[in-house]
Amino acid sequence: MKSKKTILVLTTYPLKNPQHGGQKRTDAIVNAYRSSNFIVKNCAVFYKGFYSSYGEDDVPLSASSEQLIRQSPLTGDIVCGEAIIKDPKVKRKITELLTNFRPDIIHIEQPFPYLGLKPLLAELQLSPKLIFGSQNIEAPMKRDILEGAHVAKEQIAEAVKIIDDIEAELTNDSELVAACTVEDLKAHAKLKARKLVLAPNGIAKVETNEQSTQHWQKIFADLGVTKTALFIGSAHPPNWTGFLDMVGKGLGFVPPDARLVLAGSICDYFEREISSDSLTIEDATFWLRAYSAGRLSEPRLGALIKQSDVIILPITEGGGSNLKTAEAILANKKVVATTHALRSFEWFKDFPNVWIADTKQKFIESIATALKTPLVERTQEQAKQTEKVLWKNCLADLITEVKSL
Amino acid sequence: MKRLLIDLTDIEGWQGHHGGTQRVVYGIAKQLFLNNGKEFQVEFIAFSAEKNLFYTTSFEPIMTRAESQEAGSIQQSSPPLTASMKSQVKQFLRTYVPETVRKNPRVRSTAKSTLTIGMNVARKARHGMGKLRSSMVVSLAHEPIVFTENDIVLILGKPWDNPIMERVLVSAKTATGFKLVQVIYDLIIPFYPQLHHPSLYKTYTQYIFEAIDGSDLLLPISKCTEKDLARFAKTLNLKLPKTKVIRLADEVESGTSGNGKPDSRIDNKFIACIGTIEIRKNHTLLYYTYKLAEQQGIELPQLVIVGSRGWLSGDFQYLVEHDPAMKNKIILLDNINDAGLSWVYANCMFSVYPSFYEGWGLPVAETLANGKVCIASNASSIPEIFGDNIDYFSPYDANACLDLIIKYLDPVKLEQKEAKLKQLYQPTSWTDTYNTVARCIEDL
Repeated sequence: MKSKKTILVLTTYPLKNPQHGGQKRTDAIVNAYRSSNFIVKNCAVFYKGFYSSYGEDDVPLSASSEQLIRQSPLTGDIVCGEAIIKDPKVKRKITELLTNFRPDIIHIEQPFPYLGLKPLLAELQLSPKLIFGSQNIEAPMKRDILEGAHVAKEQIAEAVKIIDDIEAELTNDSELVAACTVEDLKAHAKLKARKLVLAPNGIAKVETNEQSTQHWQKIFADLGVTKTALFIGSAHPPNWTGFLDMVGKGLGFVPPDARLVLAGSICDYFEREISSDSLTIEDATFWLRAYSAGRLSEPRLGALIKQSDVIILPITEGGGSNLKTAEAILANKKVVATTHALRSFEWFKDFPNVWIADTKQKFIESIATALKTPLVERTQEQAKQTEKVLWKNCLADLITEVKSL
Repeated sequence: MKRLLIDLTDIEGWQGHHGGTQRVVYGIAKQLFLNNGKEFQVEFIAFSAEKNLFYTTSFEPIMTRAESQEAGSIQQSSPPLTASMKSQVKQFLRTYVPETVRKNPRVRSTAKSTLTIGMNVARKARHGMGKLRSSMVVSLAHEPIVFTENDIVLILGKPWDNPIMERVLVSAKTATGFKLVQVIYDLIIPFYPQLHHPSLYKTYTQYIFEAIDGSDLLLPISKCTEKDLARFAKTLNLKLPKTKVIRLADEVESGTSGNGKPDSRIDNKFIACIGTIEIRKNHTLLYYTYKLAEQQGIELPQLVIVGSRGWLSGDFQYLVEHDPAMKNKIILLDNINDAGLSWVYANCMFSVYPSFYEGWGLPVAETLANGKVCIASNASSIPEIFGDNIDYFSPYDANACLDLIIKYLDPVKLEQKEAKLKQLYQPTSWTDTYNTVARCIEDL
């Protein structure tokens, strides 16, 4: 009889050097399980074209599956999930892992791995307890992304049906569903989840160093910049569309001695899509008031956050709660956000230094106001409340429930 | 009394006759100089591209130079090529171009036309170097200006020629808090990139952005430009500062109109079209109009097009210069000096102006100030010049243009129209322009 329970965490992206929100959340869950005395392995079935670094239990797709992703990169998560049963190399590796590790619990982060795992478990006649780690209600979000990319209607309908079905099946088959927001909890309750727990997204404390701080100080001094509004985002398409919908490319509202600073892989979009050499007035002037910091190491990003005056959260779509919102709350900066960005952090909207804006005009006016408004100090109670966004507090209820399984 | 600092970067050190924007800088600066001490304590500054700073300068030498040129006889607007340069080019061609090519009339003609443009560019470049050398000497000899909070800085010229200048200006303004006033000519490049060479798009658009963001008062030269400014500001979420439209002077310099025909090919009766030969001015419509007349068997007077050869107009020039039916029917004159230009205004039957878009449309106003009829495109600011008193055509409609030309070939109609405009049209003097500018600045 085993003394400690074993948990296998399955994803469609590796957790090594986590960059995007999904990676960071799952990495935090794995760490929380480990520090709660579970024996944990994490395994990603993933496409090497998207992720270059990975761990020893992670399984890259074979060439034939990779070809499918190259044909349709926006449905890569479906391909990765189905590869567990359809891709012989992947199936062999996952089978070895399941039969050798014999997990008591399999935590499936987002529904996609269950597409292949369900038939494989049946084939292997294994019946571990399942936890569904939900990050969003995925089907409607996938529809938005595919429609935004002008994918053919038939393909959209097919992908949405696959995701709809697997979300419902996994919700039904799981002992426990962990959701990010109250709204998502309600959606899973409708799908007849047996047990639900709220596990909002959180954040780790910002780590930085003096060298990184000096790096940004010099850059902004050279540009004659005294104030910055920061937008951090991954290359997740809704981040780009959210920015265009709420801020846009006309940055005349940013004063000459201020900059809108962009950070993270979203910078790839900006640099590719907005060239000051193109013949539109928005593009030709955008970089007069914007600065692309690019993809950054943790200390550099930490220093940039520390140095910024305002953090903007132009989030208009997507389920789940937002890691960037948690980051902004913990940073103790002025924040301009949509109501949507504050899902699961509704308590934060009554804090000082927060501007809520749900139209483009109000959003940009709020940024301009925030840039010139002095920061108000938080009360002791508010400062304590802020700690709710740390991962250890966000995941506490999940750990309690998992221990009782 | 407020200190008013006038930027003379565009004309300081300039040796030739003034072009369009330079005439505005000179015209207003001269009035401010003559009225110094009445309303403002006027001082003059210029920007040093070498040192990236503004320095103090004087207006007197510029005025002395300009007046001596006005008083002088016919002088080329740019210095002519020297005999030695011409012989060097000929020698080069004899050495490097094969005889078979040199003796082919078509190739010779194309090469000649290309060379003419090339020589014009070379001449202007040489002239520009002279200006640069002169400005370097001046900038080394003058003191950097120390801006103060109570200053008003007036930019009348083309700061987009040096993108650093606008940045230095805005940053000095942020540091000291002086008031900044700028004349805005047009927003054609940002809104109509198809009418301009793309090389200026970024620089010019960024200049307009910073001018709106950094100025306390903008002086657009037409309501149309004022509207375009508002549109630009709204699109980019900029706060538009106060704006006040100023009307540019169109007064005729006295004593220069009768100094002789500038080109022997000009017929006794001719229609004039004045303005740089560039795509925006839509000269091609005039070619189509003349071809339409030819097709319909209508004999039109000679068309004299006066203007330096600008960009994106090669196809038009080729058509005119190679169409046997247009030989001496349409002639292109560049390098015409002020006296020659005055002669053309004074002696033409009337002028025609088919431009797609203008910031103002000075050749239209100048035609009227010369007591001549102008038929013009109905685009952009042009109808602001003289309202319903001008006959307009669409810049896309050669038939409409032809109808109006035919209308004024009738001497009675032409005479009646001329009499009416002489009675109604009030030319604008530099004093008038100065007065508007001075009132706007006083109100700051």
